[in-house]
Amino acid sequence: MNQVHLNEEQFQDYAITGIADPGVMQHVAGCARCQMQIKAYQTLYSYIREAETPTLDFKTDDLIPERLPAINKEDSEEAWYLYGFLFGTVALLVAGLIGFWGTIRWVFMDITPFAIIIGLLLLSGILMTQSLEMYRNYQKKLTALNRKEIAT
Amino acid sequence: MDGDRHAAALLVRRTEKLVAQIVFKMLGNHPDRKDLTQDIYLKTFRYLPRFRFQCKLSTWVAQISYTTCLDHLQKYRPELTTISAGEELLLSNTCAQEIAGDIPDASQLLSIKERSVILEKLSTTLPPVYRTLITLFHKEELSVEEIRDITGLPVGTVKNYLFRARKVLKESLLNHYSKEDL
Repeated sequence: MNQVHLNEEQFQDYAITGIADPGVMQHVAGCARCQMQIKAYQTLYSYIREAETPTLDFKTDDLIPERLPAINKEDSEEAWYLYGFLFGTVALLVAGLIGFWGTIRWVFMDITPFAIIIGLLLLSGILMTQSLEMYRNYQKKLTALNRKEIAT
Repeated sequence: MDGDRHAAALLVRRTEKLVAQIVFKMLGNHPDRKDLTQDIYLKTFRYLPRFRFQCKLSTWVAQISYTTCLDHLQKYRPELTTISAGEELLLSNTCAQEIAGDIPDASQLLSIKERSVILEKLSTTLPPVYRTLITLFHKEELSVEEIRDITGLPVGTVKNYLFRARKVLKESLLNHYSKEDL
């Protein structure tokens, strides 16, 4: 029989998994000291597993949602600022394009059909990449949401 | 969340037991429990748009719970995670002395409630972080990686704290119970 006692880490692992090297298992089978240590850990683990889950002595779902509108208002204000900025930028660009069309139209006059095709292809490529990225993100979110939450 | 109270209530219902575990293990019967729990969920809903689906939603809520409790504790108690190797023996002995006489013999058939009381007493002297890690790993059956995500501690540290906490609790058990009782 292997005469070397198990160390603390081995006690803990053995008590969790019940698996060890054949030599270790043979030693445990014949060693009262190691058996007692493993039994102590197993008792401890069973106490933890079976311990009652504490419950909050107040109703959380009454406590929280009543304060949600205030939070959402802050968030939606932030979103409106962002949308406002984006809309303003686009509007300024379009207005500039229309207002100064006479001055800047030469930029577009010299563009060859080949350059237009290349431009369109590039634009399509970018749009397709973005769409694929959006689809991947959507799938990722669905996977995360469908994943089984901790049974609480 | 867009004011969807139903979804908010569902999220609270799904996670409140895990949140309760963390709050109780970190704070015990602290009078600020209610305020902190409210704070945890308000943070959750406020930062929900920033949730990037990198982990389970419950893990993310647990992460907020842990950091909120830790911030709260650090205001009052600086010694949250540290016990030296020398202190481990002292802790287990102190713990055994404190609980001696309160605990029925293991040879008697113990109800789950009695076992909970015993465990609670055994773990009273452990630092809050140790108690929380033990509960998350053994009771909630989270992996070490999930605990790392929640606590922000490196995997090695999580394993080390778990090892030391188990050792202290085991010594406390052995100090109280004889071999036959186990």
